[in-house]
Amino acid sequence: MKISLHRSKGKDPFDYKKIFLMMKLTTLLLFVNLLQISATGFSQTGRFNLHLDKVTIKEALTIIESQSSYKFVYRDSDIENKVISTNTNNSSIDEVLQVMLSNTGSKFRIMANNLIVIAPEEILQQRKLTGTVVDESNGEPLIGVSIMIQGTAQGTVTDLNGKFNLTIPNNNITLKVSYMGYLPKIIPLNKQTKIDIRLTPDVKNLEEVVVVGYGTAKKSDVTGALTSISEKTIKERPVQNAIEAMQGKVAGVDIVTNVRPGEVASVSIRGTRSILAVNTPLYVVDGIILMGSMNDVNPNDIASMEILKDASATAIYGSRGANGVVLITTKKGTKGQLTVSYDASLSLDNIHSLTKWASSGEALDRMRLSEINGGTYKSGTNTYAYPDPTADINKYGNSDYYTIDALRKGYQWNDPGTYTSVKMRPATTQELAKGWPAQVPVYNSANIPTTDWIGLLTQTAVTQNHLISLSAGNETSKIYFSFGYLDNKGTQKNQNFTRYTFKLNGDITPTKWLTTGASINATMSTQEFGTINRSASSSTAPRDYYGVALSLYRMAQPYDSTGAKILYPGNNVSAPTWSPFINLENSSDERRSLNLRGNAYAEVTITPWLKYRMNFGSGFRYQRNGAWQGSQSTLRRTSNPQTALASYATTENEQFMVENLLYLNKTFGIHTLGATLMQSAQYNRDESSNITSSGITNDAPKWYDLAANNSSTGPDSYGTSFSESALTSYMGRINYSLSNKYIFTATGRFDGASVLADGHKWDFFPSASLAWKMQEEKFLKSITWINELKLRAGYGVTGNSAIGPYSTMGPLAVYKYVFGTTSAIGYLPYNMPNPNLKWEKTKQINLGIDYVFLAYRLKGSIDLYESNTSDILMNQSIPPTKGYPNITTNIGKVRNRGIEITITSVNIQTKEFRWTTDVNWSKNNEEIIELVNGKQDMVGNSWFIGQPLQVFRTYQVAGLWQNTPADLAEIAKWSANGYNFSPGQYKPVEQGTPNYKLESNDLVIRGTNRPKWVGGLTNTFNYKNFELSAFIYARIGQSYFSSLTPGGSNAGSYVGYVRSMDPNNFWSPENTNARWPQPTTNPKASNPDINRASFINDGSFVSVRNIALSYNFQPKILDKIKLKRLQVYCQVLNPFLFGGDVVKAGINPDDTNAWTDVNSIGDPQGGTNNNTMVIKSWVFGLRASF
Amino acid sequence: MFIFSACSKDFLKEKTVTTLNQEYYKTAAGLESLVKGTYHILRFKSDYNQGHYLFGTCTDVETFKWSNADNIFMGMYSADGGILNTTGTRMTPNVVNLIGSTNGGISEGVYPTVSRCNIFLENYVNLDAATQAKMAGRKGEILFLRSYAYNLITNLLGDAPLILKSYLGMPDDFAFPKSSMEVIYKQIIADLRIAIPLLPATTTELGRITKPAAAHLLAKLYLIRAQAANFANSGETHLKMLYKGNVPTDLDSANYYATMVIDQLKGNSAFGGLEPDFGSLWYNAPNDYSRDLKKEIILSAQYEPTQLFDGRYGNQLVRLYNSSYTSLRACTSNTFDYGQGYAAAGPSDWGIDMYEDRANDSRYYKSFLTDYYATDKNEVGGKPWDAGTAYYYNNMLKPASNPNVVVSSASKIKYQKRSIVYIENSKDQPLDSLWVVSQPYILMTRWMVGSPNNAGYFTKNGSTITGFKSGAAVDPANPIVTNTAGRKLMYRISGDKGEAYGLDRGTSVASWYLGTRKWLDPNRGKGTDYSGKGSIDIPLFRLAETYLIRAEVYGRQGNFTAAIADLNVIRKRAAYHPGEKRSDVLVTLEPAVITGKLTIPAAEKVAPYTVVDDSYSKIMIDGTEWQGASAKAKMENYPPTVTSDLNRFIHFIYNEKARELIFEQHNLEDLHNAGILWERVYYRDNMGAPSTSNGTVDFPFPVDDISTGNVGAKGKGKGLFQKFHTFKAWPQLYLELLTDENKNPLTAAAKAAYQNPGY
Repeated sequence: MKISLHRSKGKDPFDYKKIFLMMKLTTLLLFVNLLQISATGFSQTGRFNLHLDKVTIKEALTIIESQSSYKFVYRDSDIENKVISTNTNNSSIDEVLQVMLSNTGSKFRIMANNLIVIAPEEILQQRKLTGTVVDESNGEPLIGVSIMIQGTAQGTVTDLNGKFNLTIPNNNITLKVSYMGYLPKIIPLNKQTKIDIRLTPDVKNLEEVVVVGYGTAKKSDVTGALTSISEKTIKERPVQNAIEAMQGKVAGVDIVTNVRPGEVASVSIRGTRSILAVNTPLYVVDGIILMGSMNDVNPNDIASMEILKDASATAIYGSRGANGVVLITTKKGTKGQLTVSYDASLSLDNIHSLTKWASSGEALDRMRLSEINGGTYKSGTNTYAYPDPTADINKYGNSDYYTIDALRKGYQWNDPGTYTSVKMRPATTQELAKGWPAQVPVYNSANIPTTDWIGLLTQTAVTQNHLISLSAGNETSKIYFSFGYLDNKGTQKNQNFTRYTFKLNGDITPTKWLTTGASINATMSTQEFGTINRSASSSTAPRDYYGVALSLYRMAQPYDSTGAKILYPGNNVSAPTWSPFINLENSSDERRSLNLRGNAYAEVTITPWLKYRMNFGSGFRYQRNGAWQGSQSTLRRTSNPQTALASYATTENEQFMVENLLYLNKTFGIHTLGATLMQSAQYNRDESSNITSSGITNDAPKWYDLAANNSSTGPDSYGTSFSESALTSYMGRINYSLSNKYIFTATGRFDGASVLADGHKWDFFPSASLAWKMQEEKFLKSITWINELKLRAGYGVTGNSAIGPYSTMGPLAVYKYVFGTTSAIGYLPYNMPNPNLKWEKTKQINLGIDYVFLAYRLKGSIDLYESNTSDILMNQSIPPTKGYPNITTNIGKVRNRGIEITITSVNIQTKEFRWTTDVNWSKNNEEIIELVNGKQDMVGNSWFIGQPLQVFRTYQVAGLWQNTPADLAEIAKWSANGYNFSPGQYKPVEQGTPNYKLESNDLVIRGTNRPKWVGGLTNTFNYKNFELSAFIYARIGQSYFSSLTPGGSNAGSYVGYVRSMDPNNFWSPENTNARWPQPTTNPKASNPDINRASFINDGSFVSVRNIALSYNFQPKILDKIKLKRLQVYCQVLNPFLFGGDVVKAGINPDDTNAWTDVNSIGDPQGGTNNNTMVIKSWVFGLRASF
Repeated sequence: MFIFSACSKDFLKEKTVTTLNQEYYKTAAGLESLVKGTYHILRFKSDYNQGHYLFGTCTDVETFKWSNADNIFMGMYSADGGILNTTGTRMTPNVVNLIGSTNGGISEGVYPTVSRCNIFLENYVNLDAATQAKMAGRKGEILFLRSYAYNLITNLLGDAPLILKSYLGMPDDFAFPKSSMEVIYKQIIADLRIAIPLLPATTTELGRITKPAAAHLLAKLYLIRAQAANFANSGETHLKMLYKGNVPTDLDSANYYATMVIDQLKGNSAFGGLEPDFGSLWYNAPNDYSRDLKKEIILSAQYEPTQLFDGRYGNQLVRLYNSSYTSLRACTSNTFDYGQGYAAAGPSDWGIDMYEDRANDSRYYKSFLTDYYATDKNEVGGKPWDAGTAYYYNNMLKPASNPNVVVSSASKIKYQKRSIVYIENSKDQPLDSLWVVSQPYILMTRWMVGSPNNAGYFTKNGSTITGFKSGAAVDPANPIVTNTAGRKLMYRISGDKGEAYGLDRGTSVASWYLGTRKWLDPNRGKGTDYSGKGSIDIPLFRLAETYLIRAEVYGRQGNFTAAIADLNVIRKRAAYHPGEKRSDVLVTLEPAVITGKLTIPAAEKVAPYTVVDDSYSKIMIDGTEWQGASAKAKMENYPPTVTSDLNRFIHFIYNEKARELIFEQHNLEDLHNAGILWERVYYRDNMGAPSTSNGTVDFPFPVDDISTGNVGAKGKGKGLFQKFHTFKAWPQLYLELLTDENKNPLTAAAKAAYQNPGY
């Protein structure tokens, strides 16, 4: 019997079957799932009497459809072409179908609207499971977590918000959740459709994959010394650039702060080795060498940073690797649904003075005491030994109304307003003994007013940092986009920095064997550098408005009684000391930059073990500096007519880079062999132009209308420049692993640089390293507390060619002479050509241990290294008799030796509480081994064999001279040679046999600015969703060159900023045990060079960098507000600073702002004008994604 | 493209785009540019500090004024001065610059210059004959410049390496033995004799080397060699070292070349070719540069107003000799009426006193800036009037025509009125101190006296002044106190705060002194930046100096008549000429004029003090100046060691050279070469002389009644100048760089042998 397939008509608005058949199976099942609940119950209704003989199942179903309201959905292949016979009475549809399908392997399910699906059982059982995976320790969503159904190949990964969807069979199954860096979790499932999974971080994360040069490696297989910094560390506190985030976090990396908005801190890895060439590490962003500043990379876009420290790791960068390499991996799109994240922080920055400044009265008392001690406290030819208003006004009044007014306030007057008759009091017995007259003026220094210039010139700065990012991806393509905005207002009123960053990257895998990708980064920034427009250019002159504030007079007033600005507060017209507000309004130094980086790559998998990759990188950086001194600025307002001066300078840098790479990887039994081959070429091109014009008649355009000058001769100066350089390289690397126990890596790189002399352009940089994973050995496997133990040894050679182009060719310099008014442009030889200039080379050996103990609760590494740099590129002074004072040449050797220790320990781990400590500690010993002519010191450059590159060499002092016959006799011997000392002043120490002359052999090396050790300590406490962390940074053992003398203890007619100090700390005939010399104006009382010898002090400090508290909202709450993730935090930056003498004196030794400057003859210059403060900030932030 | 080119060999080849290299000198254009650049050496003395440190101070007439420590002190001349101490930086780093250093992107100094000259000469011989002929004048310039450079270094360091070829590449050794000055002088004299025929008599390019310039230098070199010809056997090391050979014809040769210059130029004016008005050599109005074009100037270091072609620092000489008048606060610093207050160097007391008849020798007032006018509209600064000074001014000094009385506490300073005056009076003509401080401006005097018996001038009722004390002897018409008994003599007390200034008195007051008019430049800083670089040319050779060279030559040859004739060319021009105006300070305030010690015709003492009779006859030289103990000879302050007429004559020549050329940075070299530097400093420079010296009988070092301890006027030298300071030290740094022929650093003994004696 043949029954044609048909369905009941008119009843159903939809042709379900057709629709379903058109759908793919997976979609169908999802639909089935949705209908599941509503489908129950229908199986009980309706009874059938069915008598069929030798029909196919398909025919039988058609008959049922025709006789009932049931409809069937099935695939023909699931029903088979089976012929059945059935004979049922009053059977339910269940019973009928069970019989019909009994031998087919298919099952059925009754859905809503009498729809019945027939399919194999495993399909019918599927359902959907959704869930979230978060980090148990902080509640942060985890991205890319693998969720597998145990025993199957089915599974998925979490998206950017830690969420996942998984279709699972209906029966009881077990999920296996695993994620790198976290302990795997096995979760048996019942019937739930939604699940929140919390993963515990796995302290055994040596399986982590890290980025190494030209590739990645399992961390456990790394043979060189490297340190990774996670995104979490970078985000730990708000930073303007990633370098700041590294400070104190990486053993062996020394970073000194620069607080000016828009400036980058200086970095040295494992000491300083180059003298002429640069010492900054090489920054590689996503495989491409960064051109430009680290300010061009938004730290919030960084996923991780790896710092390669030893030569066996950096030699792969050959000539570029001598100073260490920082590999930066930025964020990329991830597979999963679209995620939008928003990070924001708001920081309130304040200048916090570390120094307690003396009030006007206190400073005046000290200065007056100096004058009295020096016998110069006078009015006319009358000398006074006690405070007297006439003498005060004569000495300190400076014909300034407000200063005189302030001085008068220190006294009491019989005729206030006229001030001719001061109130007197009888002198005390002690005063009379000192020779004071019977009646002296009534005086109280506390009544003298003090102006707070620092307060007037600084502000609470509001810094905002925002980043919006978007990530999406599927099987074949991924995309990441971010937009960042930083607005850093300066604590000093004329400094600020604004930056926009834009990042777009994507990867496509169109076929299995090809992956390509590209990225575009754009950074635009504007920095108001903060010019102070003072003609003084000495290194101890103010460098910013804080310094300007400190140079002002404390009795002077900023505004006169009518509220108008006083042009010369304190009336120092001849210095001159201008009102600081003038230049705030009338000058600018704006630096704009645009950095564009476009990179692309293609990767071809030729065979499973052979891969080819090509990278193309290009960079463009444009910088424009505009400087403007308005016609009313202090330097211009004195010209006649008053006109402005402005300059406009641009720099353009271009970089292109191409790399061709071939990767091989193959395992043969217990041998694994890998190889990387690379060829690369890099080209840099720089050009610049500048123009400066004075006499600009209009203030409005600043530097935008330089032609508007009143000069007949055009601009004051102008110029353009150009230079280019190229570098080409070939590199090979072999990795070999035996039994996963012994790992060997060897690299070799040929580099050729255009800047070097012909015949010396090429050089070879080899390295080799070995690691032994001891935990894989039988004899250690039994020791349970050792989880991992790896020994590493490496050796490598790196180079440095970072000298200016054209150094080898004997370039000519322009010298402009003139005959009358006719220009006479001369071209003169400048540096002596050096046809033998070659690479500077560093050879480094590194021994290291990586360890994981105590069930992964304690881990870290210890590294020992020695690097020897030779053929150092140096501007050697040569006897100018040859006609050239200098030649650029290879000379000398510098050795750096050090030890680095890192420890991470989980001190307490309970279900809800966790305490982790991260410690890093490093010690580097830098030493000059050889200089010009081998063992000769280069005194003129302050370079000494056996010493670091920077030392402080001064005379030595031994306390103060006392008023004893012995000391007076010594002083007399000095006097015979023209040196004048007196009791209460510093006493020099001669080296060797004293001859009472200060000569070069009396100079001794007193210290160095290189620290003995540097350490960082981070403690993190997690409780439920809260996290509290504190980061402490220490730099210990370095000397700091700065006068700690409280100031104001010698001459001067202006009362400025001096440190507050108990008068008992100054020497006097009655107080001989004091710390500081007797204040005196007697210019012959001591010797400036001897006084400077007292400037070398212990600059050790310990800084609490930040204390942060954050809270992660729980998924329950997040779901309600439709967010995937929300974290809020607040923190305080730089709350405390502790340290030695320097810190105690109120100086922040972390501010190296030019204090290492030496003058042309090697004398340290000091510089103490804005290192008396730290910037303290309160930060509030949130991180959200949806 | 780039990828492929990366593989080619050329990828690493450096191609010069903007940067020329030494190949350029193979072309005529390259050599032209080399010559222009080599003129750099002519700016050595005026380009920043090195000029006054090395050439413009430490003589009997010029001293440092940086601070109170303006003496010649311990360590100043030390070989490692720069390293040794900060104060030592005054000499050694500048000697380093002299030898050769790199500053501001250019190497400067003698040996880089010598190297450039050598490069020129080596490339010149390879030019074709036609180009050689065309550039022969340039060769003359180069030979001149090399000789000039060697003259500079031998003047300061004596024997020195004589380098006559150029070098390229890292040398094998740094062995640079010194050549004797005898050898060097042979070379540079021969060079100049080659140069003179090659050079043109005149040039349209101001500042180019001409025949007269080379002849002037050559005359000078011959004279220098002749001056030391007899020192070969001197018992004094510092003199023996000056020996440069003994060539009997040198004086004749000097005469020949000096005469060559004079004969070419003497027709330019009625004063033997000299500029008629000494002052106009030093005067230029805003946007006027006529001073640069005066025909008396044979050669000058060139600067120009746009400052685009002025080298690294430009003309810094315009600031170095200015008193820091602004710190008296009676003038703002932002004026172009005066120079930038800088106070690096200035005159010693003798440098002022050497103008014997400042009433009639116009060079005193034309060389010194004796008075200032207030430039600050705010009228601040200076010590305000007080009760005493206001009383004296209102009752005694105020002109009847001026009805305004001054009041206590009011500022003395009035905009565009006189604000500062310097009076350099002699000790026997001290000024009454009340008169000094009661002037309506700041009066800085060398000598004044306090009130009789130090009792004050006034009688008072409470704090109100009622009148003068009876013994106060107040006479505003005649403030010069003749009877100083019972009154305190005070040396250099400022009329501002009543405190001592200068002479090691105390801090920040040394910078007040009698500055010079010679380098005032109203166009400096392009007329807008008061602290800017100068735009005026700096004369290197003036015809006046040629006359003085020839006068010395004549004198040394025994022909005093001819010498007097040449000297009187100088004097004739130095006199006040009819129609010129004397300064009112000179006529009305100068004590020697008030007392009649110096005479001015009565007709010329009436404002505006116009000169009627030429004063030449009053200052004419008659030969008695160097004769025994004549009155004129006493005024010349000869050191007591000078006994013969010839030696007095030589000293007279250098007195006259100092009067003519002070602050033009010739004196130190001149005195040094004449072998008379030490005795002149010892007897005549209070700040340089050691404490064993008290000056001379006629001009003793000052002693006053208020100086205490070692500070102030104590009548003893305050410096440490010694004979061996005649030559500067070779910098220790330089010696450290030297090796022997086998590349070994010099031994201590070898360094000592290289070093000049005494260091």
